[in-house]
Amino acid sequence: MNPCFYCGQPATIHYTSLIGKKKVEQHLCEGCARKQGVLADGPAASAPMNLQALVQLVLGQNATPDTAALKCPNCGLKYSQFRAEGRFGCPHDYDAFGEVLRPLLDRIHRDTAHRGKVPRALAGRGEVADLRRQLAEAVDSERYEDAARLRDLIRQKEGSDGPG
Amino acid sequence: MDLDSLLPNLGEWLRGTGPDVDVVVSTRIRLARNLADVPFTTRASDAQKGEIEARVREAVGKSALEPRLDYLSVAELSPLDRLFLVERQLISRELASTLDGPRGVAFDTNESVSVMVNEEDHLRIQVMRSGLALDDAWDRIDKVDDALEARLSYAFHDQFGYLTACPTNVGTGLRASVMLHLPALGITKQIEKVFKALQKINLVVRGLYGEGSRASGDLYQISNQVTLGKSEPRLLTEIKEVIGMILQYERQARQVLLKERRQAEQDRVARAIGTLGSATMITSEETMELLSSVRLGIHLNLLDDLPHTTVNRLFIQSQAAHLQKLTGQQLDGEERNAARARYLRNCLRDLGGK
Repeated sequence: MNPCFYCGQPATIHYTSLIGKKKVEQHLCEGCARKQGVLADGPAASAPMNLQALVQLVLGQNATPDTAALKCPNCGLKYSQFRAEGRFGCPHDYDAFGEVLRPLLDRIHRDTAHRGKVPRALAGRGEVADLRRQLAEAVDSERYEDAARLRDLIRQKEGSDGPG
Repeated sequence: MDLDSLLPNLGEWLRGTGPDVDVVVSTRIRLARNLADVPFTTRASDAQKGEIEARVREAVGKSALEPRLDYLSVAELSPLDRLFLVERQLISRELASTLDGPRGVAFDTNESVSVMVNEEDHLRIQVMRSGLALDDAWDRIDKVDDALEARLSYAFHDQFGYLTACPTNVGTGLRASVMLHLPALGITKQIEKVFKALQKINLVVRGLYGEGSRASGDLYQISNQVTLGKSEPRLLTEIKEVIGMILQYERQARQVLLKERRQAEQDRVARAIGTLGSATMITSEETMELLSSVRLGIHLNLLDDLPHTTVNRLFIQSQAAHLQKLTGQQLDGEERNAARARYLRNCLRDLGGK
């Protein structure tokens, strides 16, 4: 039985979507499904599913007029095009779409921050990169308390001095 | 490079030696990498793809990797040669046929390292190992990646890691796949149960030729789904733990087969060899199924006089492009099935197998 994405209770609603060629699954319990607006009030069996709300859950924020119009200044790809095709146009899209991407990445990877290898040329760069390496080491050796502390520290630093 | 010179070789992934080779056929790790400041392949013009190809070729040439990698332009290869490379797992089906424009692959004569250029990402670096060898494969690919990175400027983001065309590959860009032969779990009908358990822990199960392909010959690829948020060693450790469990289940199931129905298994293996050695027409699906029985028979010591690399040889050389190269003729449909049967008969006769 899959746990609910929000509360960890056994999930009764399972939703699978295709992003590119990859399957992304979302599991919810009835209570959280109501809270997220996926299920309308009323007995579960008869309640109609709100598909729009489900899609939002899996893909993150809906493409609102604001986000749909987001456009990469470098390759010209619009956010709405990215959502339709599931593929980025160029590396700059990741900055151009920025915050809007986080919920999507969180759905796919259950995480939004890289903790792996850093190119040699950049490896020595900056305090945050250094903290991130320490974090990776802490996670690898299962020192989760240290990891949580480093993670908060990195978030704090990113929040204060960068575009994020 | 003369591609036909590879024909008699098994290639690294079918070498048939290495840790846990009774269950694990091969280990593969790939890294997705892109050049900074160039559109991803799907949105790049032919001129830009030509530029990417030239930059990667130069980097591969100058990085003096050992063993040396030779570059082939896939755009200039015949359809037969492209299919040949797909069958040897050196390039993807997409690079062979659905993509267009300048694209190619660099690989070594042992077929242990390959670098696809202008696939979905600008670079898809791949390392193959026979048997279960994730750490070894990672050490190797990490070095190849470093060597190329020293000469290429990769698209890398402080927050998101290595940037890729598809958000499902971003971060490490790492996909590790272990190919398993699981006939006993199939025979004892436990395979579904095992796979359901895998999906819960974010691992993906696929057939032999990757995404969307059906499992044939009891061969399955297990790989990680998540690429962001965990370090490479962490991702590999998670796969290793699961593979260790599956190995244990498969070996237990094999022991149960030997204990409870040895005679029936002996019969199955003998019939498989009999059909392979006497059929006059045979499809590739049936060949795969029969070879699966033979492979199991060899590892259960139900067959004496057949070296276990035989199965790998018959497996690769009975595929369409290999058969056409071996016979020197273009074959379709029925002709191909007849040629496959002839090839299998001759091989088994030469080996003295029954």
